[in-house]
Amino acid sequence: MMNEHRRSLMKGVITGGTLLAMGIPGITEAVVIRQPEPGKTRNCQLLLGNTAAGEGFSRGGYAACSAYTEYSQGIIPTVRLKDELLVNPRGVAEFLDISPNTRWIAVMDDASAAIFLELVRESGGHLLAYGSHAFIPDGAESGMLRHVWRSASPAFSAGKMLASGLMESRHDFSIVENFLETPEIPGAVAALPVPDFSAWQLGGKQDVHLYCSGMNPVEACKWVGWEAEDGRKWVTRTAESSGAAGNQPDGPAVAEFPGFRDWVEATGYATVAMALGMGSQRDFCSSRAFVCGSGHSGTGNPALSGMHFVSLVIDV
Amino acid sequence: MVSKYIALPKGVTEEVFDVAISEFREVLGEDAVLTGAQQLAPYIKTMMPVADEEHVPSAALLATTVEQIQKIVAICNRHKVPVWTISTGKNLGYGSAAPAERGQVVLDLKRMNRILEVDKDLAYALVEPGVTYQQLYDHIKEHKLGLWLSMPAPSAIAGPVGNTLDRGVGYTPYGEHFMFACGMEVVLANGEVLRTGMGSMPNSNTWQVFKWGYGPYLDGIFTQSNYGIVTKFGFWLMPEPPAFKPFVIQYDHEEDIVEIVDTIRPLRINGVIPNAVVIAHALYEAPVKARRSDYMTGPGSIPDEAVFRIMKDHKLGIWNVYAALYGTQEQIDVNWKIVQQAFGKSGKARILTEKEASGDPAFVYRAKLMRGEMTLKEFSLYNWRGGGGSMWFAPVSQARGSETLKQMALTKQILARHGLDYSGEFIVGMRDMHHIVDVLYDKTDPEQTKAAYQCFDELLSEFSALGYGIYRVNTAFMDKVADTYGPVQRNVHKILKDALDPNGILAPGKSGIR
Repeated sequence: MMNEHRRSLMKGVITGGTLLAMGIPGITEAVVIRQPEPGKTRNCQLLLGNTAAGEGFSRGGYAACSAYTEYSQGIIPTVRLKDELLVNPRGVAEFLDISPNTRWIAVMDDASAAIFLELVRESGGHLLAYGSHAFIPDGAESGMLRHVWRSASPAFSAGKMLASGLMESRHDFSIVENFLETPEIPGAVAALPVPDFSAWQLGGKQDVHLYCSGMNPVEACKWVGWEAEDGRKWVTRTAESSGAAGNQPDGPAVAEFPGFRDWVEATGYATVAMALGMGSQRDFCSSRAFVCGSGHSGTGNPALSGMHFVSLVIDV
Repeated sequence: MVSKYIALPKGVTEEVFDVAISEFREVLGEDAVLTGAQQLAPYIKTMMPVADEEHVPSAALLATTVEQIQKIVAICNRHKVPVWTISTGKNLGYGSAAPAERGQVVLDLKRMNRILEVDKDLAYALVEPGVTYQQLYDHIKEHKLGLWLSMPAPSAIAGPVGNTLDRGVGYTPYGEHFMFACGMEVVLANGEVLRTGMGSMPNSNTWQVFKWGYGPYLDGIFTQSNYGIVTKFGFWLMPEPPAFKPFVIQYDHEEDIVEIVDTIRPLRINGVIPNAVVIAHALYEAPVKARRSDYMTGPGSIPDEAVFRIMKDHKLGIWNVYAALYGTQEQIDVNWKIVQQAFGKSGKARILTEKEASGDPAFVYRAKLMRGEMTLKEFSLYNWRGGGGSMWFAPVSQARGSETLKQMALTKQILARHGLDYSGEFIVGMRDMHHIVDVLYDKTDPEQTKAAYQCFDELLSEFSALGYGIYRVNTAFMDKVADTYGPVQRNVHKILKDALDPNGILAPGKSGIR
């Protein structure tokens, strides 16, 4: 009889060769991020998988990293994969095994993400946020951006930051965030201040929030596929002034946005900032959406038309 | 009042669940009982067109021994807590690791991953549920056992126990996996441990070599079911053949499928081609080589004209027939002549071997699967539409050409009505055929998600009305498929369930059984 657990442990040690074979560089400098548990720190690294979005996403990620220098000690280390997840998933699993105490921000195509998520579960990793990002063309050069996140809690929320970033790009877009864990709602809480967006909540349900720009809540709901139960109506929420008590940022104040070249870069910026624990503001809700009908729906970059990719933020 | 759990089992209060969780922790230890959102999030993602919230577990339990499982079922009975058991949880496109119903506790057996025995002479293995194909493959290579595995598309990361129990298939001559299963150990809902077949007899050494034992054959009732928790599993392995010859035969017209199947059937029944033959449509193979967005933008299903361009650009047939010959070189030479003659008759086929197709990525991954090698390339399918939506539609038919055209036309028609593409293949077993269609859609698109749900529902209704049964389905549609097999079968399933699991704690909803 053979104990395969022992075998797995041994394999976790013998990985130098595997990493080189995968073209994965050694870890150089680590960006140290703040952890919810006092006294704990965690290294943060980017994992760029098999997607054309990788470069743009990482540019945005690096910008976020430099914007929050207070928490970084150098550039964010980056590992690049080709199609290892589909041809040698074991190599990637071993790589996760030898990077304990690391927060990985991974970006990859849908196929790789499906496999990667399985490896994360297998390794006992924690999934903080899983985002699907797409530009959906409705013609040769027009369409809309769609982002859907499932996050462990509102502490891992990039939606507001991304919404602000995308406003500059004048895209039509929707961002939906679903949270597994909802913090207790401390009575009536004012809405997050999001410039150019009006804030709404579903009547009688304090935990579903909607932010609209250029459209009313009924139209916005059509975009994100929300159907009001029992004929409930959307009621407006008053946004608190920036810096007021209530929905306080978990991290320090959000830095100025750099100018983004495209929506992929903006997504990388918001995701990495969220993973670094910066700028995410607690919105006491189980679901929320930001929907913007700008009337301008170009990609700004034809190469990004029809692009889909997935981002994952995990702790191992 | 916000719950400390992200979900609760149906009908169980938080106070009762608190007690159950603390009892689970006494049995398994703190670290093996997961209740945090971050810990459970990797169990939730499904590819079905329903809200993932409907499949959120309340907890996950990481058991390592049979004794622990016996104690877990006792706790579940005491508190009426339902458990959803997974082995490796890689049932991608069928529900993955998520429970069938919100609030069920996932019993994750990934840590029960011992290879208990691999017998070189009798060519069988006995393993625990968490063993992956990769582990077993490494073990066989390391010990130079000269045996081959048969595995499904998730290969490396999946395992033989979960796949066989869900009656999955592979691509070698041992590809009908349950046919090669031999002996199980099962923890019943009352905590008793049953060994099926010869395993029930003390001192017997034939548990993994003789399936039937004495009296009614029980193994079947533990597949696609919720009557017990399989903790050990025996199955037969294929001796490595001295020679192996994979090939692909391409055809250019959809209606050629009739001729293809009628040509293959006698070759399969007579054993000339020993493995299940895959007849893959161009759109099933295209994602390995092409991007949909290069051929089609905007809504709707991809037009035939674009499919023809893909075929031309990427050297695909509209049908691509993958099969292999196994045995000594002499046997292969004889059988190869028979194959060439059979397929060469009409003049429509392009027959390609490794010599001509070795650089073709689609051929490479198919050849790997037919020799039991690891590759997950088939999942390139998920990049076709993007957005993470996928459901396997899997009706069964007779292995007759006349069935294929009818099935394909109906499937294409229904998919097109909902703006979805036909990514299909036929797998010719012996006398049966599985028509496997990956219903791919963008789950981030609410309209397309709704369309995918309606489309799948319609596929099930229309096919079952024509007498085409579904052999396996995702957790969102299990009740509907169970209904298509009629009230008597459902009632018998229910009678068995009530007898073996009166509190209904084991995977309620699996195959529509509660």
